[in-house]
Amino acid sequence: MKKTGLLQISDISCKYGSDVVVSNVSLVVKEGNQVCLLGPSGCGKTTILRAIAGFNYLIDGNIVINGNEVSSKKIHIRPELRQVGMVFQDNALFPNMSVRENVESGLRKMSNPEKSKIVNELLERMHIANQANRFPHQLSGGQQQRVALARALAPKPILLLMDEPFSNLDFDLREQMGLEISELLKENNITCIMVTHDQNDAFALGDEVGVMNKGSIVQWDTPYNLYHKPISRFVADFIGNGTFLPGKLVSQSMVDTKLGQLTSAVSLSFEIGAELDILLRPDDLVLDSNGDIRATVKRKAFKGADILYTLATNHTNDLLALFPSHTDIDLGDQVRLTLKADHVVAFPRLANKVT
Amino acid sequence: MHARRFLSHRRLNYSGWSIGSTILALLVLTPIISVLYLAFRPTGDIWSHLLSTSLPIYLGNSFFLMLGVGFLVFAIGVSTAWLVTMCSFPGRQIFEWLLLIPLAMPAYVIAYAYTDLLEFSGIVQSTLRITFDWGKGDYWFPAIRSLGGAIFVMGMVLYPYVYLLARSAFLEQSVNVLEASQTLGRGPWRTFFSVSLPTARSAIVIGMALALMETFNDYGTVSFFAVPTLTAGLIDVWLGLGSLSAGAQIASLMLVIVLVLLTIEYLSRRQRIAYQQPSSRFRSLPTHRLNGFRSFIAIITCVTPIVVGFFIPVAILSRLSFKYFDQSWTKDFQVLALNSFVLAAIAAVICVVLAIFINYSRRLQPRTTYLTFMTRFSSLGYAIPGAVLAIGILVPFAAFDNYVDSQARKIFGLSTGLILSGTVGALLFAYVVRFLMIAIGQIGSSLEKVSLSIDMAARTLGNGARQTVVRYHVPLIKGSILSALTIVFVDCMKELPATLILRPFGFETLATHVYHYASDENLGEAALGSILIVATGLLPVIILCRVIAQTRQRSGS
Repeated sequence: MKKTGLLQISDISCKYGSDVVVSNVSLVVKEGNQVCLLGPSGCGKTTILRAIAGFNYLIDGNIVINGNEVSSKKIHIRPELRQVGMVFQDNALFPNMSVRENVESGLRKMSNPEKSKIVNELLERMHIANQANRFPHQLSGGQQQRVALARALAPKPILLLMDEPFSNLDFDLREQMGLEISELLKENNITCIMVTHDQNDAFALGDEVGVMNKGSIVQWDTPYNLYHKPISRFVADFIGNGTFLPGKLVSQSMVDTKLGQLTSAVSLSFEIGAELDILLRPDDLVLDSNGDIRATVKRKAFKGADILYTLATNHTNDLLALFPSHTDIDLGDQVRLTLKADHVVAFPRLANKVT
Repeated sequence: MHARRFLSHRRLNYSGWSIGSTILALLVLTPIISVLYLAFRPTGDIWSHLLSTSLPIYLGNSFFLMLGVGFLVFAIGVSTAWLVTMCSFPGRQIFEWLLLIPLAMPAYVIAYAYTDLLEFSGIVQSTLRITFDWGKGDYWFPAIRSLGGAIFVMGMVLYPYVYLLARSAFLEQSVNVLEASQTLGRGPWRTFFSVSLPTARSAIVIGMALALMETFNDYGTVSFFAVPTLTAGLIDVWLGLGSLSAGAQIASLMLVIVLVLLTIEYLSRRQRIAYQQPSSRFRSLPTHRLNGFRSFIAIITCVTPIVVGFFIPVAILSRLSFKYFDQSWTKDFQVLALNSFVLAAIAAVICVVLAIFINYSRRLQPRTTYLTFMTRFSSLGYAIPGAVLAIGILVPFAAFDNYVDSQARKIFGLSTGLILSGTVGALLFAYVVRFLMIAIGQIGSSLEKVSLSIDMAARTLGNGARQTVVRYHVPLIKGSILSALTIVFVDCMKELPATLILRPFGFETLATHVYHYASDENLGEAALGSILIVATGLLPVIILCRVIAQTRQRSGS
């Protein structure tokens, strides 16, 4: 039997009501890997997760977990038999059970001492041992999240699924939880698929990320490549901030724009003379007192270590630039910049889009 | 990894649930279908005979009864609901839940109480005669045993339906709209008529539809007061003449009227959803502070229905029960009281178990339209008058019994007699069909509040569908299970028309016992049973009161 990954999804399609919401999606997750499905709401990512868990049926394709076909057009193994752990957006803790009972509830056919050993270890590891006898409503959002994760991990699932696990946490907490969970999963070699619409969550946890749009995976890549080498306009738009700048290919690796020339490390696969849209990331612009580009600050958004500025030049009105926040530039001030793009990302010019 | 646990299963692994609920829905539909079948079957000239004799009288009485009760429940229900939600006056908080208390009183019980009080030999008329030295025929006194009397007693116990719905509609109305209306120069009265009443209209209509369904269902009162309505006609035709086809004719006519009521209710419910403004739900409403004479009028308006609808009849019945306790508290009485309790308890448990089953199968397959359709059908029972339901059950059951009996005679040469009809089973079936909807509604709304991810969590933790219900859902919704049990239990205890038609020979419940004694003009001995029915009837009212108290706390006053 060909066995390429712990989870193998081949050409699956799913319906929601009468609409096909997932079409021909394939992906492979190796044992011990953490992957994310990232996409706007309604792109079908949660449907895939639910199909893996066994809550959605397939109309085509198949899903293989650990070498066993669990879903296809003809076969459907019930969710409770799949040995898949799941963490939910709302945590779905059983409100009438204490933390201990919640974590214990997936453990069966086991003596009580065995159960409490597993539960105690997990509670300890998740830093919630002193909350063991509390009830979910007495816990903070972060603590509830920990309980939910501990509960899903207790039966030692083959695969862990997480559906927007951080969406109910506030900003600081979600970053911290993201790092912590990532560490825990790596440490225990747990295979995990997470679904999120937030790229920060996806980048924090995913070794690989699949960007989804309208029921299909449009790019499956590392976070770094998704940001710097998006293969489509959709991915470029969806991941990170950026501005599209009109340009023209003058040689196989050189693009002429109104803000100056850009040189690509790799040759661009367009015809010389092609009209292009060049993706400029906010970090592609740097402050330079000798720079050729003169711009006026139109808007600014404080981001902590950095400030995201919206700049206007003679040619464009919505240039985004990220500068360290120790140089605080006022609205209306003039700045001088240079382009410093290591990765030139270009797409054919959209006919109807006038920039 | 246990490969055997991954043996392939058929795709349709939830089908057990959907097949089950389909069968249930069909069972519930059987009585309705059989009534329709009978009605459209050619039956000679019974129809024309009925039409030329008693049918116009039945129709007329039913019409005027519903008209009168409708008017009365509207007037009492809306005015009291508006007072307790929109005005502040002494005792308002107490009235808010006390106004529900007449709900504990079946119409036939209050009818007996007022008959005892107001009939010729009752306290009121005797006192008048003695005081003014009148003799019989010297004075005019309204006859309680009349159409007017029936309207009065039913209005007094059914207005809480309108009160409950109007009250929550008033509580839900937008504070901003009210304040806007006042800043536009409308006084409290004009705001009420131009803003509050129109937005609460659909809720009020639902309440009235429910009250009228109850009115239509009533047999005890109209039979005792000798007001031949359709229900009374149906039961008299069946019990008196034994004519099933004539009964079915009347029953099908009643179904049409019920369908009209149901449609009105359904449309109003849809409209009500459109009117609901969720954001304003728990903001406290601006109240009109009533002083002096106005607060006195408000108090009188609230006290009257409570006293007339509950405390006076309870006082009369209590006096009678004490007086006739020795005659009433017999071995027979204890047996039939036990019958009532056991029967009602079994029916309640069946209803709740089925309601959990039906609700959960819908949850498993939320987008299966035919299942939704079936659930809606199986909840039709509550609208169908008990008498119609009974005829609808009697017909197929009797047909089944006859068939089995004739086959047994042919093959084995012996008679099997009655298997289904005339048994307690038929009675239980009627109770379940009639009251299943209450349980479905109660449990359904509470199950809806349980997040679907709880189900998924339970499933991924290794529980099957049935285990998920038993281990996770039941503990979560036990409050609503308990109230569904109580409400169905009490409704079964009170049920009269279907019980009268379907009960096995010689089998009595509290309701039929009370009815028989009252029919024999023996109100004294009917009192103890009546008071017992009222006492159990208080249980669901207490539950409702608690719910009301909770909404009040949240609305922050």
